[in-house]
Amino acid sequence: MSLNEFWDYLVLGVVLGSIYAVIAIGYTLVYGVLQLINFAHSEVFMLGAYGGLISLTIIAPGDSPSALASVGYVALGLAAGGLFGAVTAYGLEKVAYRPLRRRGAPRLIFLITAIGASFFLYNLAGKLFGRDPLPMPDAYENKKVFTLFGADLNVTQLLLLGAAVVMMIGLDLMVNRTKLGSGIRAVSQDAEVAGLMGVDIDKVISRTFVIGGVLGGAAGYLYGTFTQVKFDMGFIPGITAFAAAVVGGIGNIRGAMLGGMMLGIVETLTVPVFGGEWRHVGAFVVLIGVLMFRPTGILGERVGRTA
Amino acid sequence: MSADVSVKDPAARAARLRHVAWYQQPRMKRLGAMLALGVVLTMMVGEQGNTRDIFYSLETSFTGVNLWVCVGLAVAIWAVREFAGTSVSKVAGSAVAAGRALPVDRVRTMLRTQPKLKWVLAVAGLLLALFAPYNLTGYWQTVLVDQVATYALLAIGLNVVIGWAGLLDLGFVAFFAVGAYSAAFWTGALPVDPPVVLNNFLVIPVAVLTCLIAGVLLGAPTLRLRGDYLAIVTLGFHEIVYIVAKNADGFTGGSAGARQIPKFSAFGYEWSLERMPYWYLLVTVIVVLIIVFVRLEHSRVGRAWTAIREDEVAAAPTVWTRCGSS
Amino acid sequence: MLNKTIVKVAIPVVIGALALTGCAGDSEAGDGGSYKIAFQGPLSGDNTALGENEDKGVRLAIDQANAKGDLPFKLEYLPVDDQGLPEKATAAAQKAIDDPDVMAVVGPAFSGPTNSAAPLFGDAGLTALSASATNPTLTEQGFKTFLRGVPNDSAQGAGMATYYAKKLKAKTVYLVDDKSDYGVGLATVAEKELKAAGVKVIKKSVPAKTPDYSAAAKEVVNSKADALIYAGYYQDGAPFAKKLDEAGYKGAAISGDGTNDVKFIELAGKATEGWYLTCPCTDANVESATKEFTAEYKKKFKVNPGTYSAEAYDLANMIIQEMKKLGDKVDRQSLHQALQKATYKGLTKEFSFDDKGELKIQNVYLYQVKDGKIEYQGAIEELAGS
Repeated sequence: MSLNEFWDYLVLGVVLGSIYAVIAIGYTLVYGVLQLINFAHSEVFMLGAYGGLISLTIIAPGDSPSALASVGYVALGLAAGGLFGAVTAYGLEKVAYRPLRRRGAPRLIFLITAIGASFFLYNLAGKLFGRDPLPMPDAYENKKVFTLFGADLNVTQLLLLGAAVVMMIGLDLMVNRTKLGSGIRAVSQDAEVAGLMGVDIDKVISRTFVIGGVLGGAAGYLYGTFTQVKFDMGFIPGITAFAAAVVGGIGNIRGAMLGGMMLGIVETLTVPVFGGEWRHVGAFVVLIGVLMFRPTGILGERVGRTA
Repeated sequence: MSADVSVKDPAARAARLRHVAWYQQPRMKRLGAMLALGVVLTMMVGEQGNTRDIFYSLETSFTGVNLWVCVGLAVAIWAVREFAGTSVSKVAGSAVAAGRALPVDRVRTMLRTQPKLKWVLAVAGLLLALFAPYNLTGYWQTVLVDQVATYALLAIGLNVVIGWAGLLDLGFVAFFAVGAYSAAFWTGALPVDPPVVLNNFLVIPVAVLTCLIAGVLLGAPTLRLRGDYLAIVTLGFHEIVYIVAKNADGFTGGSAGARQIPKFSAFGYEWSLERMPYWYLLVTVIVVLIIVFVRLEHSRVGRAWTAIREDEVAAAPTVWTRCGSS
Repeated sequence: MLNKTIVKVAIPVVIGALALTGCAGDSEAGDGGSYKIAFQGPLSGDNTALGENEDKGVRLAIDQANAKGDLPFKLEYLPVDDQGLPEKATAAAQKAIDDPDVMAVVGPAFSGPTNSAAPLFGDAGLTALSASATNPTLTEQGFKTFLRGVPNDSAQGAGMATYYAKKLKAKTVYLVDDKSDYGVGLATVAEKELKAAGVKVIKKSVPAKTPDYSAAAKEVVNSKADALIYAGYYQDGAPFAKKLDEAGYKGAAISGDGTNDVKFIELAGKATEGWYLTCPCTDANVESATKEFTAEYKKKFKVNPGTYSAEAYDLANMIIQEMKKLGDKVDRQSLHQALQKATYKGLTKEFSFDDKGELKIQNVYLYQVKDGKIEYQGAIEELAGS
């Protein structure tokens, strides 16, 4: 593989990795506050994509929208995706996880509930929206924008990269500078003591889910633009993103971003080197390798006592 | 900041803080939950959506009779529970008390005091399992053999890993695949020939051995990992096994897999595609496994598993952790 | 207290109800004078468009035969859904086998399910006439009652290879399969024929349900191939086509009958422009022989007939013709023997089977996507000028 080709694949990998990073943040946030693997996050992602699809079907972009209108449509898609994701995540927390927390259920039960919620949601989506794949309506003409050291970048890829970077920076700022952010960090470290310090644990957890949901939903819309929207589209990006969160250090938000990027690049580079059918194997081999040598993930885990 | 914390009329302030709006009352919250449930139920029993019109299912669900029926049912259940709750539970309580007088409860006490009765029930259950399927249609017999028995076997195995040892193994099914492929290999159904072709029954211990090796291979890198890391690594392992099985064409036959595996045969009798003999074979295997595992649960290894499940860290010095649990 | 009681009562009731539905079963033994023709294919799950096309074709045939009124028995229809998956095919096939009224099955529609279900059909003596299972190895495994009513992939793959080698004079062909039974079978044949014609072949696999085709598309562009063959179904062909377009692939592209469906264009839009599609089927909307069929189909189902609708219709009518000849005492054995030796002139082609169950005539046709529509080009042998 020549250097030029390597660079091509690297760019593609970074684009894919940025989506995985945004989804991984959702997993990591929830794990930090609840020590729970939220398997249903992949469905939050999927419903966000459907949200974007529905909003762009109702307000159809038409054949060739102007540049300003395109921006508007994309913003609409992102907002609708984020909204659907947030509502789903909030509903999940309220219906599936809060009652279990109230009764002090063992961890395994949370996990099984999460898997059950995931099954329910994607089958419901399959029933409501049909089981065939749907293309996301084109809000802009996807042409090549510029060439970066020999690798072409088109509008979709730039959009994905840009939106993901903005979301990650925004989240980082929020977690480190705002009151809600310090609440989240407090609950992650030690929920009981945080409660004693005046943090409303239930509200913080709820809002954590909502934030994760907004990010996941918007990522779903972006991913749907990149590929297509189908009721089971959440499964594979979901487990890859969770693996990314673990690779970077579970509970650690910057770790999730790093892990997402890494796994996206590894997955894309596996294709020319080993063949298209081995792409997920590459990601999981990296996961096992990292965990063998650094069991708490690359940037180290950040978990405290359970809520 | 002054220390003067005088507040005009502290009682009223406190009362306002304690005030719960009418819609926040538990009763109304329950009503809200039931309404949401009714709506979800409507969507669930509605028409199958199609991709030509993504609003089709939603439209038909919410403009039809279904919505009123489901929401009405939900509200009715809420109303009964809220307003007639005590009287209904009284009725139910008396029914249960009446039931206690019935032989059902006497049987239960008998079971507790006379353990031999359990054996009678077990044998009765076994006979039912062996002879009841004759009354079912062919389709349900196939379901019994294909799905029920297979899932029962898998569940028994999963019970050991997740139930007794408390290890969050999400990739357990990978061993199902490993066992199946090794059975195919040793009976000569894969593209690669085995050194010696074995009878199906002899393949079973060999397949168990292969799974043991696979389990050790899986366990080695994950020995130091805690619960949730174990979950994702086993999930990754399961994906790897799936993808390797699907793609290693030369060895595993790719997505076509192994066809025409020789049927079970022993002492001249060959199991064909007939369902009932196969069902008997499977029931025998399940019964043997259950007996083996029940004995195992109370053995030293079983107690070690229980110790690990309760607290790994405490168990470590006293038990060889994780040996042979897969 | 009330919650617990509800739960304690509800669960056994639900389980009991489910168990009872099993015992009820369909115990209507052949009530004199009513037979069924079954159809097995993907009616839910992935790639359902291909199953639904055939399902409607068979339905139309049965309804027309009943309406004509010259049958000594009543004909009914039984669809069984195998979701296009080999694992689900056995249970679906069993459903058809268990119903004593079912005399023949049109299907299974996909090659993978045929592999699993054909042994069961063989043991039960139930004829399985497939309109679209094209994997060449299916007739080599000695299934007792499998008849293939469609030219197999040996013809299709050879047709693609001939077209590329002779007509387009491609120098390097990039061959992609989707790792399904159908895709791998088609790709193997195509590779053999292309190599025999002296064309350089790069063979890769991109499994179905790959979420992101950009890397695969990039590989195609980087390999500087001037022609592409995609052996797979439309659900994955469409995103692949889209990504190829984005990656700037300018060469020729061809795919098989699994992609030959209007949904391919719906999913990928302008990216499918110029794609060639082969099919051992004719276009019912265009051929003069099927004009009447198309009109009836449109009237009944309000959509145009799709890939293999006319072939499934023909096969169903072939079954009906043979059943008529047997009078009112039809059973599975005699029907199988009759179909094995029969000749039927259908709307699409003449059906007659050799002793392996293969169709004697093997014609492959070429289509091309132009202006968002699949346009019929002609028989591939003529177009390739061989």
